Amino acid sequence: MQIFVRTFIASSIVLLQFAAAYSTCAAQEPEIIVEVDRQQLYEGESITYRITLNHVETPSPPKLNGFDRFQVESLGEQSLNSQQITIINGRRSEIIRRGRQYNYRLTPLSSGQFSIPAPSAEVNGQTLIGREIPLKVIAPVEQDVVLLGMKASRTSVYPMQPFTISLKVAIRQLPDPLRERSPLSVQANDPVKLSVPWLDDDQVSQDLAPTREWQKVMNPLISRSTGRRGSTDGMQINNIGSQSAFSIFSRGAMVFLPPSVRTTKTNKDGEQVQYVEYTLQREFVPQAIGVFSFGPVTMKGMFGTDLADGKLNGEQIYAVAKAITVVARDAPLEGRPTSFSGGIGVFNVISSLTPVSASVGDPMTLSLRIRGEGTLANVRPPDISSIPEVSQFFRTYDATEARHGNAREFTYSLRPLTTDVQEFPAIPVSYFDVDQEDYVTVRTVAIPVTIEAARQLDASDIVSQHVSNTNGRLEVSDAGIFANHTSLQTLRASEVTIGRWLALWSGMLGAYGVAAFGIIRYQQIHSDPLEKRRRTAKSRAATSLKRAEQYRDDAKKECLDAMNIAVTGLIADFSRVSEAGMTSHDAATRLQAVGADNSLQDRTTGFLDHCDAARYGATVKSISELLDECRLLVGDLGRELGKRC
Amino acid sequence: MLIQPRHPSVRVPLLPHQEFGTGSPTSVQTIMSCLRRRTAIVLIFAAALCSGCGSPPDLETSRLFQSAEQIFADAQSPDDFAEAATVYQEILDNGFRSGSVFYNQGNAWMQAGEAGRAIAAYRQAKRYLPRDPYLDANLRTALAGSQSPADRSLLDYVFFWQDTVSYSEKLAITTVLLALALIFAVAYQLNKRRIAVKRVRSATLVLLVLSAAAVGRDWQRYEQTRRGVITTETTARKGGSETYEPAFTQPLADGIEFEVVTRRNDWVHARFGQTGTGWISSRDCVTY
Repeated sequence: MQIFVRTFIASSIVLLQFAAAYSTCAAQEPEIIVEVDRQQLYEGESITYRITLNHVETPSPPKLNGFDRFQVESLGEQSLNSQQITIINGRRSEIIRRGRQYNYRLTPLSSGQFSIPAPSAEVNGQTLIGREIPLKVIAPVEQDVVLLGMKASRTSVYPMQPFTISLKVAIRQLPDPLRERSPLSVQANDPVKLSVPWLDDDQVSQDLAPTREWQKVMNPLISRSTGRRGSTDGMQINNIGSQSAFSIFSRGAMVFLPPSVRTTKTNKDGEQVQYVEYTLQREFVPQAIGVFSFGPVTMKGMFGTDLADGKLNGEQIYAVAKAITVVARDAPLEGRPTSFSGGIGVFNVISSLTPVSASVGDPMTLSLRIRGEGTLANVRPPDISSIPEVSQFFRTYDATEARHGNAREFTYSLRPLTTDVQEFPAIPVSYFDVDQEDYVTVRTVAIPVTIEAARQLDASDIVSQHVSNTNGRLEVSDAGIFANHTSLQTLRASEVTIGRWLALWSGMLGAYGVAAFGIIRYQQIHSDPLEKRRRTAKSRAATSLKRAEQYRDDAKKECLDAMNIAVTGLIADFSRVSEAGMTSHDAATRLQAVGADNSLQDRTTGFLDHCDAARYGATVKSISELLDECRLLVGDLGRELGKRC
Repeated sequence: MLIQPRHPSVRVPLLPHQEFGTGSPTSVQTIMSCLRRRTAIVLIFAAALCSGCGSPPDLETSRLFQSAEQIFADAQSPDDFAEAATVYQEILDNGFRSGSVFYNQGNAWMQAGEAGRAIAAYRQAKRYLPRDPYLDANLRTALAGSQSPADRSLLDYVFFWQDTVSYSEKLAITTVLLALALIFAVAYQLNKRRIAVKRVRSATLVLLVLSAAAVGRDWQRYEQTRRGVITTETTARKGGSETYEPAFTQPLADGIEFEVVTRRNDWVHARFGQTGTGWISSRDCVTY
């Protein structure tokens, strides 16, 4: 009981605390909370930057002004409604978050000590300013063990023009006598780690389409080489494999071994040194105009540097390849034809016209379908009204457009202006071909048409045209009144006398009452087994009498029993008692109880006694005489008992 | 003693698409009972329909009606139309209350320039001809010049269908529903294992309650409440005499409708919707 009381009190306190916290929260002012996952990192690494608009009902995304030293990438946003209570050494702390959280990935573009600028947000007309966060970006130590180099096959491209990003990782070869060994095979169970953002599709711009999925790029590079003591020859890239469902059973991420060559490079001391150079590359196709950034790429891990006393010594190295950019620019203005559709890529165009035979002024429909690979979304409907061969003979209207897979269809309405036209002219459509790096103009084929003069309206046509200010719709006039009811056939007195209706309803309810009472009574009678027995008493007696007659010649005993049952059963059924074991005395008593005639009692007693005597051969009456007497007695008993019971 | 088993069911058609199971051994009685019930249903429906149909006019009423129609057709002036309206009133005063007579009288008053009296006649006609589009149109025309306050109550919204069924039709519908409810009650009593019968009985009872409520509302509107219409521009006063001050800031125009609160001598105490009450001379209005 004491425990229960304590539990109850503790629960109440907790609930009160929650309620108090909630009410406190509801009354709190809006605030902007800025958090980072770490404040010290190497150049080329990224941090997660989180901005929370707390106690804000209708938040809007914060402004990140002055973030020029960072490459900023949004990681999405989420709503918050959380409460965290922590009790450490008896001290209770509480964090309540109700609002919206915005996540970013910040990659410093340079090393040094500086601050992340304070973000701002507009909330209910007031500006909330966050806090600045100091950050230390450690520049990689100058070294010549690992050299990273990244470059693009083109730094300026057109949309739909593919280009390749290549990363070369040069690792100084191991000292003698290990120079023939792979420098990535001596890290035992801790392979070096390479971070390449452009191999992670989540970090690639949506306007940039890789020609191959990252899995297809990386799968052939999975290392199958094993070094001494079971170490794997290769490097971990983007920590791939560490998040798989089986990672809890394995040692870590997968190891990759890109293709390599041995090459000679100049080290920091100006000497020619042998390196093993690994190459990773991926091809991209820009889908839109823009500036695309790749990188930075980082590598860190333990690398073998020198041999002392027969043992290979290592050095912890952190290397960075700075980010590079590729610009996808618009098609050049120089040489741009007037029929340029805005498409960059390779396209073709087809047209159709329906009907091809019409009268002057009749509507016609022109469809232009532009199909191909490229910036299809940028393709504009060709301005056919600017084509003299079209505008001279046709009135044109604005196009409607629809997308069908890798094609766009523009539909124009036309009306021929004259009969002096034999064909609908070819429509030129220009696009920029990135392979040729020049504009290409394709044309539809001309469509023969037959235009006739419009039909002239005759006088009757003109007269039949009804012009009204109600647009031809017939309406009922509100003026005046409608006519009288004049027919005597429909004239009926409709006076309502509520009393008559009430009388009718009362009669119906009365009839229902009678019927319901009758049904209930009927059901009561027919469901009473004693009453049913009384009603069937005569028929049962007759059945017994009939059976007795069947046994009169063959079975004397059965005949006597049946006669006995006929008489005693009849009395028992009317008297509603059991007939089993009923003696002549019992029968006389029952008859006396119902007020039967004395002579009938005597006849019944005498008959039953004769039956008993006949069973033992002590009677003077024959079976036939007893049967006749029984028949008369059953009839008399039936009538008498029927009257009295 | 053993309980006697029930006899096999005898199925007897009671109504189309309906079967009736009996538990009684006397199937002949059951059949006869069902036949009697069918006869009773037919009789009840016939009685209800006949009650709602109304009686045709007698010879004198027919003669008066034709006379009024003739005056109306030959009328050349407002006085002629007023005379026709008076003949229609004679028919009504003889106890022959018909929607058509009220409608024609309304038309006569309209032609005579008596919009208030016409509104009163149309309102009464609407009790018997609730779905007549011409009556609606004429009533709208008559009401066009009046400024009667809208006095729709909550019950008017609850019984939104109230004005599309006449009083006598509602009584007939209620009678039929009552008959059905009683029949299904009897059927359910005969065989309580029929859930479908029980459901139909319950549904019929719900409809019966709604219908009876509608009848009750009409009874209250038509037989317990008197209404009226201003027939001549007049001034409502704060008491039943000319010596009292005007009840409203403006005189009451022809065609304004009201509800009669009470009558005293030649004065009517009238309620004008939510606006208020006032006393008006019975010479300046018509009540019904």
